[in-house]
This record gives sequence, C-alpha cells and structure tokens, in this order.
Amino acid sequence: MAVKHKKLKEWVAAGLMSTEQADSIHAYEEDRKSGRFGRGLVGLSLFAILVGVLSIIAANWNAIPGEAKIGVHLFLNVCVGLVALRAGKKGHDLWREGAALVFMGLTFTLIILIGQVFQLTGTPADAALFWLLITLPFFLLMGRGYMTAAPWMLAFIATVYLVMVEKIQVLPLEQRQLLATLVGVLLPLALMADGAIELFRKLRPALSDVALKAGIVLGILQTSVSLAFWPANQSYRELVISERDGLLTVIIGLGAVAIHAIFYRFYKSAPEIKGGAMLAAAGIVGTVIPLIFPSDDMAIIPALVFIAYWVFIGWLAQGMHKMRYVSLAIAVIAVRIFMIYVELFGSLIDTGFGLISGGIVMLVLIFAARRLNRRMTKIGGAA
Amino acid sequence: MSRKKTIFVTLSILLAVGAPLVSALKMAQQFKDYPSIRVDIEPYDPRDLLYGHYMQFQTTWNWKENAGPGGTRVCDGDHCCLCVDEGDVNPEVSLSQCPAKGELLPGCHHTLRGTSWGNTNFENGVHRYYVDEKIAKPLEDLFVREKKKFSLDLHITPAGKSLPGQLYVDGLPLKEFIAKNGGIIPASQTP
Repeated sequence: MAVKHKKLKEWVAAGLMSTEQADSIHAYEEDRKSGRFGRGLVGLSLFAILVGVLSIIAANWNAIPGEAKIGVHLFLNVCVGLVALRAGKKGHDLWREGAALVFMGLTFTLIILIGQVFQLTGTPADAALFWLLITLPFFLLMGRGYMTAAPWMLAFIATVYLVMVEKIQVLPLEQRQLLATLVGVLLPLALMADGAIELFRKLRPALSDVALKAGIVLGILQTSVSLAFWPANQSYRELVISERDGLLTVIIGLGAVAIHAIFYRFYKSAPEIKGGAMLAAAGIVGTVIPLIFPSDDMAIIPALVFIAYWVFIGWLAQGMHKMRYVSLAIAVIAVRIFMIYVELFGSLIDTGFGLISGGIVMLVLIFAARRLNRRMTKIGGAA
Repeated sequence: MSRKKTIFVTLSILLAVGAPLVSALKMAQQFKDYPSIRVDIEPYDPRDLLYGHYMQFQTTWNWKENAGPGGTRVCDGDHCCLCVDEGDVNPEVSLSQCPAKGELLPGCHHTLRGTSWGNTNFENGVHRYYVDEKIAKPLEDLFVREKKKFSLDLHITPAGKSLPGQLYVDGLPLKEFIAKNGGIIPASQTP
C-alpha cells in the first residue's frame, strides 16, 4: 500500500519508520476517525431531536390540554431514562451515553413545558439551576463519555453565568462587581484544578478532561475579552472596580494559584500542570489589570499587552507540543496587529508607529521567551 | 451493573422526573386554592427578540382616587405593596408601605408584593402570556392595533405573589373567544 499521509511520507523518506509501520498507523487512524465520525453523527442527531422537542413545546399547541402535554412528556422521560438504565446494564456504552444525553435534555424541556403551561414568571437562571440540581445524580451515575460530559459542562458554565447575571442584582454595585470578578477569575482555575486531580481523572476521564479543557478555554477567553475591551469607551469605565477590590481579586487569585501549586503532588501524572499554573497566573493578571488601570486614550498599550499575552500562550503551547494552540496564537496575534491598523486609521504616523511598536515588542518577547527556554533547558539538563 | 447501582440510577431517574412533576402538581393545587382577581391589561413596547411568540403586556391598575398617578407618594421601590380592595374584576388599588413578611395590609382584601417607583407604577413581575404560535400574531394584532379589551386572572399567593391565570378577550376566556369566532382569531381591521 502506498503511504498517503504527508507526515508519514516524510518520516518514511527520512528512514524513521518502515512503509509497513506507516501503513499500520494510517489504517489505525482511519479506523479511529470513522468511529469518531459515527459518534459525532449520533450526537448531532440526538441534539436535533432535542431541539425538535423544544420547538414543539415552544409552539404551545393549543389543541392539547396542558395536563396531557405534561403527562406525555413525563412518560417519554421515564421511557428514555429506562433505556439508559437498560443500556448501562447490558454494557452498550453508545446507547447509554445517547439515552443519558436525551434524558437530561428532556428533563430541561419538561421544566420549560411546565413553566409554559402554568404561565410561570421564573427566569432562565431558575430553570437552569433547577435542571442542574435534579439531573446531577443521574449525570454522575450514567454519563461517562464525552457525549454527555461536553454538553453538561457547557450547561454548567451557562448556569453559573446566568445565575451571576440574574441573581446578584440585589447586592450593592461594589459587591456585585467584586463577586463577578472573583467568579470570573476563579471559575476557570477551579475547572482546571478539578480536571487535573488524579483521582477524578481515574474515576471520570471524559468529564475531568472536559473540565480541564473548559477551564483553559474559559480562562484564555475571559482574559482575552478583558484585555480586548480595555481601551473601550467611557461606558466601560462604569464597570471598572475600585483598586481595593481589584487588589483583593489579585490576592485571592494568586492564592488560588498557590493552592494549585501546593496540590501539585496529587496530580503529578499531569505534565501540563506547571504550564497550567503559569497560564492561570497570567490569566488572573490579564483579567484584572484592565479593571485597575482604565485606559481610554492609550489604545496601543492595551493592544501590546494583548499581544504579549498571546505570545505567552503560544510559547507555553510550544513547550507542551500543542501545535494547534501555537497556530491559534499566531492567528490571534495577526488579527490583533491588523486591528491596530484599523483602530489607529486616520493618522498614518500613529498607524506606522503602532505597527512598528507591535512588531518590535513581539520580537523582543520572542527573543526573551527563547532565552528563557534555553535557560530552563540548561537548568533542567544540569539537574 | 450492580444491584446497588441499579437502585441509585432508578432513584436518580425518579428525582429528575419526580421533581418537575411535584412542582407541576403544586402549581395546579395553588391555582385551585388561591383567590384570584381579574385585571385589565394593556400592550407596551416589549423590545424583545421573541416578540410575537407570546403576549407581552402590563397591568392597568384601577387606582383609587389620589392613590395612583399624581397622588401622594407613600412608599418606594421594594418596600411598596399594593392594597387590593374587595371585588373580583378590576378592584380598586392603592400603594402602601409593605407590612412585615407573612402579614397583610390592614383594611385590604388582598396584599400584593412587588416594586414601585414614581407613584405611577406597580410592578408584580407578570408580563408574559404564552399562547399557541398560530394565534400569537393575530392575537397580538387585536391587542396592540385594535385595542380590544384584554384581561387576566391573577392568583394571589399567601406571600403576596401574583400568578397569571386565565386570559380574557372581550370578557370571554380565550378558548371561548376562539370558539365563538369559528376556531380562529379574527384578522385585525386596522392597518
């Protein structure tokens, strides 16, 4: 069989592996991908069914009495729950995962239906929180794969944010801002820390992996958004918290990073942990800086800090051999540099200086990162 | 799967199905037990993406003389309660300082809790009424363009919360109004 994959061809040509080995790897990867495609389609089909049920409920079919609608929905939920139980007993993982996903989704649509039939005046946060609480035991017992873990994590994060938006309105403004900042800073850290705990990884590999990745993505996203909106207009000033609250957030955040480091021995098997702690620390600083030092007129400084943050992410990703993240970092930096041009358009002098500064800062950062890398490697080699 | 785990999974299914069922039964019981008043409602600009998928409205309170707009301000914000006089349809109301939790306003038939500001508004949180998507738009047209008389039952809980009940169009319950018009909502005559 002729070797088809570009990388495999290169490795065969370089004498790193035989043609037979390359063929075996190719066959294995093809087989694995075909399974993933099938699982992906099953997941999408189930998602479509759930959205369909939600749409039918939203249509609020008048011809059917509310009690009948709720009764049929309850019957459907019990049936799907029993299918999940039976699949679990028989060891049919794909069926169990699929039925568990549908059961949790149907529980949410049932809550929506009851709210509609009785014209309840509750909020989305009430519905989401209720759903999260009543489906948690079922999810922990029956959801073991990515098909349930990923949607559950999305729903969990959405619930946290909905509750934050709706429920803390009763607090005074300063307390609201402080609480929102703390949750914003600490939630990604908590998810990353949970996802890295060895016991959790053994008991729930899919959920812990999803938690770790969700923490990383959420942290990077929040920090990037915080830095991106730093140079925003006057209305952003209203969101700026007091220096005292900002410093408190930094102290608590760094405390969390310290706890992270202390618990290092519990998740020794995760080599990314050092990188994770560094990412978390940079995330905290990046999120909080714009809150402490508002900037309306110095657009270039926030842009440079944003670029520096993404250079750091790229550097970290390269150290961990996560090449997709390296490519992402390069793409984000490129977009940000282009945005400098857009932001400063109108004065070619400003644009020119902005782009030159951006380029120089990036080169300096790359030089510093490489130097640091070499030093760390040297120290590691000496030890 | 062990017997113990089967029991736990069964219990978790019962929890996920039973909790919404209990809340539904509780709501049904509340609708039977709690007293209700009928109040007129009027349209307002909802600025809602889902506009047209459900009715959006605000209550037209029947203010007592000198108790509503232009009257003397007696309370503010969350401390305002609505004193509802006797009567099942559009009873007279006035604003009052809220009594302690669990207590009723003296001399009032019902006490509604909510928020108020500027002496021209009492907010009880009831703004939406879910209807069949097929009739939502024509019903909205009757409500907003034709200015037909719409009213709503408000069930009042012992804690002073308002729960929306039956919707009335031209004095008829919605279902009867549709039946009277041959199973449809008559199209709006106003362009």
